[in-house]
Amino acid sequence: MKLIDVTAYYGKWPHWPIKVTTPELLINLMDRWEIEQAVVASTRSVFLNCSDGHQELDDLVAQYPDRLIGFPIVSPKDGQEALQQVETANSKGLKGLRLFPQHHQYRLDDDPTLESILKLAEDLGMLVQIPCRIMLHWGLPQLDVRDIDSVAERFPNLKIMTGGLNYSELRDAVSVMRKRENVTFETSCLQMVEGIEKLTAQVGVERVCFGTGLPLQYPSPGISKIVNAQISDDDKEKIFGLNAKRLLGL
Amino acid sequence: MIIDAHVHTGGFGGYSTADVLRLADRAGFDMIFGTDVIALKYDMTEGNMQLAQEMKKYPDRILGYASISSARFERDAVDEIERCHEVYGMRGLKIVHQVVGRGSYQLLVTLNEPAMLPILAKAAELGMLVLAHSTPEECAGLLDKVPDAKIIMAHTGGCPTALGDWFRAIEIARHYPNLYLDTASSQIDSGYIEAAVAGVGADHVVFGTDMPLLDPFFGLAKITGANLLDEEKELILGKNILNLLGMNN
Repeated sequence: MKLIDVTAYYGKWPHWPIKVTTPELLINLMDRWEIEQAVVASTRSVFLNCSDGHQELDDLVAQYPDRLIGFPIVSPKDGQEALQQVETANSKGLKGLRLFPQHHQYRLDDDPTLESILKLAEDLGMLVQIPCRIMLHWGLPQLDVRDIDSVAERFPNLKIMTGGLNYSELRDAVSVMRKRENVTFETSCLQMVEGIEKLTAQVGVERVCFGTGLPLQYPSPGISKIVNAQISDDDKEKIFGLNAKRLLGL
Repeated sequence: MIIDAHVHTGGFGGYSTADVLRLADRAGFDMIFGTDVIALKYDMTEGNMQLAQEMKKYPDRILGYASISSARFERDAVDEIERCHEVYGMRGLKIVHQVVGRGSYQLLVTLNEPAMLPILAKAAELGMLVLAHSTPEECAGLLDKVPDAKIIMAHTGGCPTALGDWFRAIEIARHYPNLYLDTASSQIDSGYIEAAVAGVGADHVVFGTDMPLLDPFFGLAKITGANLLDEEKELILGKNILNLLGMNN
């Protein structure tokens, strides 16, 4: 079974030491857990400025083009530069981008530049990931998944993936996904008992993708909860990779 | 032997105790150390009695924590945990701090208050392990006053009220030989299990899952997948609890 992790990161981590901070170590970690490909974004873009992270991401993906899928993080606070970054990413063949309004401190419903970014991504067929948490840590900022509803409504043809969500937010996530067919879900923070079974039963297995949050989070719990879920092997295969493959056009 | 030392029984989240044991079976857990949801959230007498009945029904599977919803019951709480130990055979005590109010009016009712001290002292006298859903500072404060108590810090800081701060939990636990760290948490920050073992020793880390709130397979994988020696994993997954309860034979 081919594992595609839709939620991975690369870079330094300012809150506590992490060991996996080089391309080689990232690939070693993926190898250890038999993750064939990962959608990776730069932590530099989260904590410093987006464009520096993009350069780092380009260099990383260039080393392992068959293993890593780069998703630049953009912020509407960068104005026209952000739009240019989306254009550039698309011209390089990148399949999507990741947004962190909770870290970059903007809202999803009142920013003209964000509207332009989302329209452009919609026109280009790019996947926009809007994780509600960068990882499941109770001290880090969190986005309300209900805020994604208006984005999905305004851009009905935009492919949106949310995630970073746990037991407290599942009900709201399902509510958004029932209303908005263009929203999918990644599993990196869904730690609740029988969470995979409950989620797939409510929104359909085709809309659920495997994510780990590596190397910020241990990969093995994220794999184990799907391997041991009481769903069919075909469904596990979809979650582990086939859905991501379809969404990303791989 | 795998013992899950942080389990909610008695109907938590719609899961009966039989449902929880089925989850334990699927995950390969030999025993669970349970705290009853009714005792913890509503009425200690009713809930602890319910757990006692389930312990009788599944004597080889369930170890019991006596649970209290608040230290404010004072003498009644002391009597209750003594009854739970002497009559029901419970080997632990579960305490949890309460969050009251909403939004900016939200306050934490600390466990580290005078009313808790006689309860904790009774648990220490009876040799009951105390599973404390708490901040690291609360554990330190309680152990400063009742140093003979054996406290397992539920979640190792990995809960909202402790702001997820496992690093601080480990730093504090290093200074308290009777403070143990519980692995149950939604958090799976890379390296935190290894950091806990490096900080306090594998003999002071205890496996828990928080089921049926959290996925037991998820909780188990963060131990089995950690970069630890097999002997260290064995301690965490069961031997430590057996040793603490004097059941290692």
